[in-house]
Amino acid sequence: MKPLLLSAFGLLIVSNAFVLAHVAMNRSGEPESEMQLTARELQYYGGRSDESGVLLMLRWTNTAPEYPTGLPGEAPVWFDQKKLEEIGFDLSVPATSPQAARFYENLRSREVFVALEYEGPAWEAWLKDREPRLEKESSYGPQVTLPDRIEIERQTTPRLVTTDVARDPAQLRRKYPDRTRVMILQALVRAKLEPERRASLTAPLRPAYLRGAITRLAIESINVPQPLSRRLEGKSYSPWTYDGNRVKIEPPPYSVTLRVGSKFEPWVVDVNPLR
Amino acid sequence: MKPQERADRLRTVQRELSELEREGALELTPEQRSRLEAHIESTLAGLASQFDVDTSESQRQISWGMKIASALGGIALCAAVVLFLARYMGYWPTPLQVTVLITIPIALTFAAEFAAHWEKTLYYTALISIVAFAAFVANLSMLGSIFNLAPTPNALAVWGLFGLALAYHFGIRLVLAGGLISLAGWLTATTNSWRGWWWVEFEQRPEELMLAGLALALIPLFIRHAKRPDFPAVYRLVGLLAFFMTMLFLSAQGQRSYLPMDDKAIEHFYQMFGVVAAAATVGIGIRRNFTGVVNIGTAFFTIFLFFRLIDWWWDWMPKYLFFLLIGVVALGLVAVFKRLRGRMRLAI
Repeated sequence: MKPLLLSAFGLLIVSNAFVLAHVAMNRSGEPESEMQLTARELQYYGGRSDESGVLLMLRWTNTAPEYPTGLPGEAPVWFDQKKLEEIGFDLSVPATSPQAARFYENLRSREVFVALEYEGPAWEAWLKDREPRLEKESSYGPQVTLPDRIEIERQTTPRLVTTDVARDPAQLRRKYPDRTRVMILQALVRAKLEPERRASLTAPLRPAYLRGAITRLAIESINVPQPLSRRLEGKSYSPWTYDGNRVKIEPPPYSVTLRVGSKFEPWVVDVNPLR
Repeated sequence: MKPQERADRLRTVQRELSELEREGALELTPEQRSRLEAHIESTLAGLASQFDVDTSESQRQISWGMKIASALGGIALCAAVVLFLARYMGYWPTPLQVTVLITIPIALTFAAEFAAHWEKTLYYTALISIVAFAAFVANLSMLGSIFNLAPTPNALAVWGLFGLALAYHFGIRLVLAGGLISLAGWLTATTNSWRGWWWVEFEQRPEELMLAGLALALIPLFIRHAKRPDFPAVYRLVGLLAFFMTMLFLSAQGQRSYLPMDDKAIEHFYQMFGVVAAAATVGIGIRRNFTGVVNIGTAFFTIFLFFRLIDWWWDWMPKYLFFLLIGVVALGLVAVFKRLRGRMRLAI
């Protein structure tokens, strides 16, 4: 056989072997974290006629979003300039400099590790922070009353909440040792320049400042293998509906045991119907 | 010389001799004529039986049809393989999914090798190679989805090398183009990730892609392709397209550049540099007799120039006058090219 053809076969075999070895390493030994989530955090949108694979979308509450919804000027407290410096962003141009807008717009995302806490104090704090903003929340129609909005948030939104980021996952694990409550995953973050502004016409001018934003998780859709995927048939989840008179909140139809391995890649180990 | 080129030249000689005889510029004795005809026909028959070359114009036209059909068929089969896997793979247990994904590109590579031994013209080999390349891309991508792996730019390098290995082994230009595109993507993505940026966003800082394109276009100057004389044109095509398309993007999106200048200044720089680089490309292409390079250079010279004209004139000029001026510029370009052609004729 000629050397070029041999190298083509070699590439096919070695690359597949590498992928399978990587998967085996990720899934061997003690899992990095394991937790039981529901359709609120792992949502199944139903199958498509031209695709047979079953994917769950990982839904998480981002406390440091790139474009915050709600009142103007809100910003996460924990993901500040100091944290950005810690994870290696070049912040050499001051936020008040005329060059800052272009510099920070072009400063691209970095891969880091993010701690996601499940149904803990961060979730409670997030709910509390959301309540006063819900009245003006544009994602709800005007017919949905404030008590309904609060109940929808409490019963349907994802309880997996971002609490911290770091370049070193071991550092995060030392800080958050509970492997059944805090999941560590790879994520993308960027530095955002908040320009100077006034909260109102009479308020004093707030100077420009820098903050961090989590733009996405590296893995956001999770494959469900056979035979577990069969348990999700007919279990697509629509958290709430409004029939013109009242809001109907759906309880999650299934729970999923999600494990994260040594390479911080997740996989589904169990699916159980809840109703 | 490739067998097809030899056959084409023999047919041209045959036609030209008849024409010269008709014009009275050459007179062969009947014996000389029949000996020459017999030699040409026997050589063509030998080439046809040994290499399956086209020995007539109608055969050549059919061959073009076959080439187009095999390229389109290859692309359609790629879609068929990927869509089939997406449609049914979810019903299979993971070990079967993995086995099928790994087996398909291996089986197709064996099939391409078998086809290459069986046929001389490589139409089926080209078609199967294209599908093998796509199946390998689907293989690693789908394994990544099945096992929820974080995306990595290294997959682009592996696809690129696999494409090059198949292309050089079988002599398939479309697969070479696929491999080169993957490698250019890998080069750009990797240099981005070295700086700690997410590699998937490499299109946001495309200057590296411009350099990768230029490097690809220059490779044939340093690596001789004696066995694959039609490959350098593919390097130049892929490289120059990457180079000029990136430049075109930067001429409108100055904020995506590394250059430490104002956004507008960067856009103006790339607009002018684009016109100059395209003109230089045409010049180099003419000097070195690279038809593809001349065509790409001309196309981008026109695009850059027309974009400039739209920028300068569209908003304030009456539309009829704008199109009139575009027509005048086009006539000017035709005049310039005609003069260039005349100079070349004089040089010959």
